Amino acid sequence: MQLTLKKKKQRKDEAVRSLLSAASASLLLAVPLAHAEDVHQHHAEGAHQHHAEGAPEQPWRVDAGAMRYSEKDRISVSELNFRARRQLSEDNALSLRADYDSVSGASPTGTTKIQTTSGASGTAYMAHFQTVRAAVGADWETSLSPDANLTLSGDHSSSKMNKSSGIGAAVARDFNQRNTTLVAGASYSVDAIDMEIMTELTPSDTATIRATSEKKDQIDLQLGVTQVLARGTLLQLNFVHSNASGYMTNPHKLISVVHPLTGETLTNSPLTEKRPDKRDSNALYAQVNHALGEGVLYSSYRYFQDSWGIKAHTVDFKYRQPITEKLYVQPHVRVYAQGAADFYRSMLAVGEIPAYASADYRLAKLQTNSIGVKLGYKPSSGGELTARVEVMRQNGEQHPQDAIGVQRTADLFPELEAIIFHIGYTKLF
Amino acid sequence: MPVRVKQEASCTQKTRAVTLRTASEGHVVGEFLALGGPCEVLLDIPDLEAARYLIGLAAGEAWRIESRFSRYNTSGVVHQINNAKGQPVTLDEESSALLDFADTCHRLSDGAFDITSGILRRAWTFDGSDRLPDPAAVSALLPHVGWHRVNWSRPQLRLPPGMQIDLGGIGKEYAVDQAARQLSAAGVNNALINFGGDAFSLGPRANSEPWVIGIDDPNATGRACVRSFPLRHGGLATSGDARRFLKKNGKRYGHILNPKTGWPIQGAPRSVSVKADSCVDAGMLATFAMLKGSDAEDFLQAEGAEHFIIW
Repeated sequence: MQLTLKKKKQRKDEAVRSLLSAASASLLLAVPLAHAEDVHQHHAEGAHQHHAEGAPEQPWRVDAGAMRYSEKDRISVSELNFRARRQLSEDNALSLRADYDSVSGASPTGTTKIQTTSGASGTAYMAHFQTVRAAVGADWETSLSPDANLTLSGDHSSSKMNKSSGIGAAVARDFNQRNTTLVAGASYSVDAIDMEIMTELTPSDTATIRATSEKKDQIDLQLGVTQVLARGTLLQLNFVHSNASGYMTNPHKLISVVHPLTGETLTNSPLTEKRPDKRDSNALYAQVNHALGEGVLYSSYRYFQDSWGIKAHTVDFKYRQPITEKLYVQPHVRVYAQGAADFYRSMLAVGEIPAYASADYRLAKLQTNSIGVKLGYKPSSGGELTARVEVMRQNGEQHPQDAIGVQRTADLFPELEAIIFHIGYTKLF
Repeated sequence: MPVRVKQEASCTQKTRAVTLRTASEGHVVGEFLALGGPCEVLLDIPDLEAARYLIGLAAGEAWRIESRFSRYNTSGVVHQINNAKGQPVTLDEESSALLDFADTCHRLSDGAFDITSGILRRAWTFDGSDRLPDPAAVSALLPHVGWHRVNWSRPQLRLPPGMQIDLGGIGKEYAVDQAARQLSAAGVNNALINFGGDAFSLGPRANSEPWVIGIDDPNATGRACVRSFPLRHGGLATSGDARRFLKKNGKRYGHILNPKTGWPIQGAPRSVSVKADSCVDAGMLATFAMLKGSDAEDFLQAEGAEHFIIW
């Protein structure tokens, strides 16, 4: 065997080498770097479903899910979801969605149970109801340039009392070799409320019923940025400003009217509520996905503020840990805390007619804690099967400041417990 | 610390797993199977969990490229092209870029590098024996070889029926560079990627020492190093394989075939290793040198590429 060893010599005629170098540089940069999250997922899943580039081998992605949400002694919701996404070509994709849900049970009307010092009376504290809602929607995604995408969407939902239609558009643009993505979007929706509406802030037995249909419309403006940070860390920031106007009062909610000193209810006819017909809100959302070992930690925080005076914070953690190549477990913890709306009143003193008032517990100061776990299974044939269970507990002020007299002895915010079961299936075709 | 270069061990990989160990020198070694052989990533960081993630990034890239461009993967792009039966196929960005690159290499090598030459393997089996193919069988394949017969108009490729492409001559080096890109984007600046003997260093070790790569002795693959290459930054690739040849009447027939004749390049070295800015550059320069036959040495000298040739 003859060995030859030559050191690099600088020569003028490095023709092939420099041409090769130029060609390989454009080869290497032809494909933008995958997002850290994608890469990580790829690592966990093998090569099954990486990249939707080119003529995709599996153009359909279908997700189907079923959820059951049950509040203890109150409402329960059954929901079916269906999503289908079809990659039409390299530059176009169509997504379709359909949801069906059914809500039934009893929800607090807002009136207090305690009528007099002698104890509770028979006034309805809970309103029983049942409603079903069906919703359909579609998105069309198309690329405007290799770095920019446009998504146009349309939605419609319908229940007995409410029909809602919306349209939206969003542009996403990648920068910095796809390490940065900016999104800007706008959407508009209009709700037609078709139910019997009572005169606001009027004793419910004398309130006249209007059968005219009311309207509500809403504009959402969204601005977001997604940034890949070093070592598999992804940061997402999102800001949404919403402007709603129209009928936002809940005709099923009532407010107890009590004696200004004793707190005894003076009439069996509580007042109907009234909310402002304008609501501006701002929500800031930050999410960090961070790869930890073989797992991924998803941490998010959301701040919400609106012109009704509600301020809310949500902190959410999920951690996805692979158990085997096919199985993962994902514990979840969520804490939501909100302050009361300016016009929230647990009760009104007789004769008091504020500009706006509502005793809906959802506008009160409250905190919701959720804890859950999700199991995901990815069979060799592709797709994913998930099962999730979550327990939720909601607490508010049992004895709010504005409670009067005897009402202070009542538990005006009974603890709410709910349990959620969800199963889902994702398949690529 | 010579890192043994493993040359094209004939492995078929069923499992996609990365095994991690800490080497005695203190760096973390992640090993996995991809692209037809053993692959390794050497990282000089103390945090084993971070290393696991980073090596996962590199392995993910290797597996992704393997699954897209291996001609054996029936759902991959190459399989789709090879089974289009004369119909045009519209390709994605990445596949198009690879074909553009193959086209450039075909031009730069005056037609010697040809991704359609793979079907000549039907006639040739390089098993170290003296069984040369029937010249008629080789000639019969030649009408189905030749990049100039292919209609490539980005992003559309139309392959005449009976022809096939094989990106095996680019894929491994491409995977090394793309994995390096992933790690670089993740902030890594002292790692060595070695996919089956084709390597790239993202920077010297934490103690500023270069990574040292051992070149296998073609006569004793896997058992002896004939030379070690220090690699601070950039690519190093080796073309040639000791065990893939035929020998008849004292004449050696290496596995590098001339796409124009269908017969092995005359007088080609046993092994050519080249250092270059990227692993793709190194790999192509080594391949071009091989295709130059006995002029390999002159070619690499003229190109000013640091190299090591075993005749």
